[in-house]
Amino acid sequence: MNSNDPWRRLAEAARRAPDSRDVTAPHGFAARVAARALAADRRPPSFLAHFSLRASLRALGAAAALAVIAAGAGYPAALRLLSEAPAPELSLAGGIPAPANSPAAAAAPAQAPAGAESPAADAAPGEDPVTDLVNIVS
Amino acid sequence: MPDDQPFDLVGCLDRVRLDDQAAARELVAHLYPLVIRIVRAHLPRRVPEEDLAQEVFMKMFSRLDQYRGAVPFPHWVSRIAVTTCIDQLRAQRRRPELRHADLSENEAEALDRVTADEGAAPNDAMAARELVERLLGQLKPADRLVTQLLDLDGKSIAEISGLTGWNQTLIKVRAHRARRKLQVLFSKLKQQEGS
Repeated sequence: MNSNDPWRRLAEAARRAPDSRDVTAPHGFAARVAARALAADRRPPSFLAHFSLRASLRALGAAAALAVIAAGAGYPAALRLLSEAPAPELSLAGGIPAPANSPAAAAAPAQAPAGAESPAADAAPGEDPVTDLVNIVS
Repeated sequence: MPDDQPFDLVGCLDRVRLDDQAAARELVAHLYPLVIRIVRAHLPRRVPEEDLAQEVFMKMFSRLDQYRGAVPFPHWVSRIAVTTCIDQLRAQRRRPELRHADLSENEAEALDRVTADEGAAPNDAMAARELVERLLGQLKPADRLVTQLLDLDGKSIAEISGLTGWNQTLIKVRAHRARRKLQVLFSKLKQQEGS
């Protein structure tokens, strides 16, 4: 702060002003605050808060149960979808397509004739573990 | 509690944690001077100092479980007091613009003396104090706090950092910004006086 700064001069003068205000706690202040603070700690949760908490917990439980049921019911269908999904086309790095006689090329649905059954449906038992699993589940 | 015995803060805190109301009273009485000085220094307009001090203590008790002893307990309470005051100041949002016509005769005289070319200190310390309060009221809450602690309470940057929890660079930036704003305010008031 430079010496010609009006703020510096004003602040210096203000610092000389005596502050005669009492800094001890007013009568009863400490007792009132202590009682309120400790009462707030001990206060049981309000009915509304208690009710909300219970309702939330029940809703959470119901949501979890529904999620488990939905997962169980949808599991075979999901597996079936997975087994029917086209296998990713295998190719060498750089985008060179797989040879036409490779298993990946043979399984590619783009090359399958329209209306043809999926390759998984044609697979003999023991050849495709996913198909076997679908057959067992369904 | 006799005055000549040092206050057993650690023991008192232990008893407060066990819901000892007498210990809580002693703790409030012990920390009241510290809290009320901070509250008075940063008191927002129209907020009674006792209400704000009570709010600080209520926060202190409700967060007592979070105190891990990383800083001295009075510093921890100071931070609560500082943030409570800043929150209150922020809640007020708009600060009415300070005009030369609002100054009392003594405040106007103090302003004249400090802004005169030869630059003399005001004779009336109380008027200077009131003018300082008015000027500080024009600053942003955090800038006001830094200026108050630095220029009026004579604290060092490191001490302010300890009290507020802000890093030292931030404190310097705020102090610089506050002084620039104060310079603008002085010029504005001087212009209004002339017109």
